[in-house]
Amino acid sequence: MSRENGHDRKSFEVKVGLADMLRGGVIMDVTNAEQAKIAEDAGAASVMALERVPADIRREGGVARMSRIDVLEEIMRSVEIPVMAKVRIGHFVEAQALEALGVDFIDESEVLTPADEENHIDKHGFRVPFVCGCRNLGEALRRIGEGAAMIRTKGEAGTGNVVEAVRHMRSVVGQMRRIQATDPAELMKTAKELGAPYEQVLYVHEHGKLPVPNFAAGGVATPADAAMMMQLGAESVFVGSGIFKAGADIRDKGERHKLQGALAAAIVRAVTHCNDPDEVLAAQRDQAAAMVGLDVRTMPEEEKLAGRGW
Amino acid sequence: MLIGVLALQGDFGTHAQALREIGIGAVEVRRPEHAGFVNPNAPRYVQDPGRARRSLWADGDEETVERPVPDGLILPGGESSTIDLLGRRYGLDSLLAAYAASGRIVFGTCAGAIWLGKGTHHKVTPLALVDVDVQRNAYGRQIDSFIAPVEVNGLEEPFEAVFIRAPKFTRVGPNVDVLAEHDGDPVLVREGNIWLATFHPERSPDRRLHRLVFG
Repeated sequence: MSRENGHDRKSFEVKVGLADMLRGGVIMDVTNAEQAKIAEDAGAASVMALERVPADIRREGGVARMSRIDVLEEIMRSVEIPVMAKVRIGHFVEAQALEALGVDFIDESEVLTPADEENHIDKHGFRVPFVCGCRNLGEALRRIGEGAAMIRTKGEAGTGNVVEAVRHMRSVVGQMRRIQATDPAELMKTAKELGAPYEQVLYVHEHGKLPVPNFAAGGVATPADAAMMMQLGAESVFVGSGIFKAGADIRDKGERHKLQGALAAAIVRAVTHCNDPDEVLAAQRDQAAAMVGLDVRTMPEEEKLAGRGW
Repeated sequence: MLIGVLALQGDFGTHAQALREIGIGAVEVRRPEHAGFVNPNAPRYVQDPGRARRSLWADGDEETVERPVPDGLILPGGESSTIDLLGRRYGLDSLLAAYAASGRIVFGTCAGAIWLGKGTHHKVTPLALVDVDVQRNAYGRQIDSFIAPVEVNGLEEPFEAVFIRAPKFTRVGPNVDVLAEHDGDPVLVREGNIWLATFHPERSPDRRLHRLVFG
């Protein structure tokens, strides 16, 4: 399939266009229509529709797959903002099904159990845009080479610990700064070392940024976490278990939703005004509770999800 | 010339870049004082009390910053429910009405057009500053997004318009000029000093539309 013709160029521009519309916003993990509405009311730019949030996937173990279609449909019916959904790494048929369903964005996600340990999905062939995780620039550029319209850090989902997301964002942004300063004659060597397509390396050299939006994900739990990821170079923030796992011990549903809505709105506030310390302070004050932290340093290597994909 | 770009959420960065490419200054607007919105009818500069800056060099008093009132304003695309919510939280909705009444150019694209127009939406309360009814996500979901050339009144060659989860103008008032159509639907309209587009002019490398609006 030719990727040079006008149709494919336009198709890619439309995909990156939606990714750009989500900039400066918060994308929230939700598992049902009630949560999706709370997220929309709190100012979420998009929701990630899931059967289980990463914290539960992590706890329950087993094979984690694409969500049940009825769960996705219910969420898609309940909100007007774009709805994203996850597929397993390399599982192009799950992706075909979700494209047929009409989800607005697909996350080829390491949070689910990989279906292919060698290959990611060839994303050029889809009309629906894809977001993929990365730990460093080489990984980001490989995914973009495969057709991803948005990149996010992998971080370590479901932990409430932002340290891995920070590590990955600093790695991507730092490598981009170095490539910008690299002698053009050395860019092919850089491409070889990164294992990244030369054209993408050249783009980074010329523009100092990725050719697609660069978002943060994986362990963002507080307004201050979200604002820090923005200041480190993220253009938007994914918040997973950080919102709807909060207040799990509150029996009264109304009270629990109120707390979750307040937490969601506080994170949106901190992202919008990420460079304004007074606003971030106010957002931290707004935050009624944060999820219980599970420290990533105490986690055995084999439990880490970020090692999935390459 | 200086144009404010509402930067609550969405594609504000690309609009600011488009303006700079044609030699127009851009300032991001997140709170009223960012655009000297405090009094849009004031002379070119307004006093912004600002927030206290407790730096090593400040002598403890609050800094007062002179901020220029922009000559125009862009409301970019993004998620209209998010922009509506954040805008109202900071009182930008009523200030925008006063700003538009001052006669300066206001350009709303996609979500911005939804906010400035009329219509009944699930999560957005439109400002009703332009007499058009707008329907959100009128073409469907993301897989129904597209790029198409449109003939624009005032531009010689067609403009390649990017439609992303785009709205439609379902009714256009008698005092509203339709400047471009796609498949019989109006996609660029103007009422006095306010311009609305259902597509994203900032997404095309072509800067003619920004020139036409702010020229």
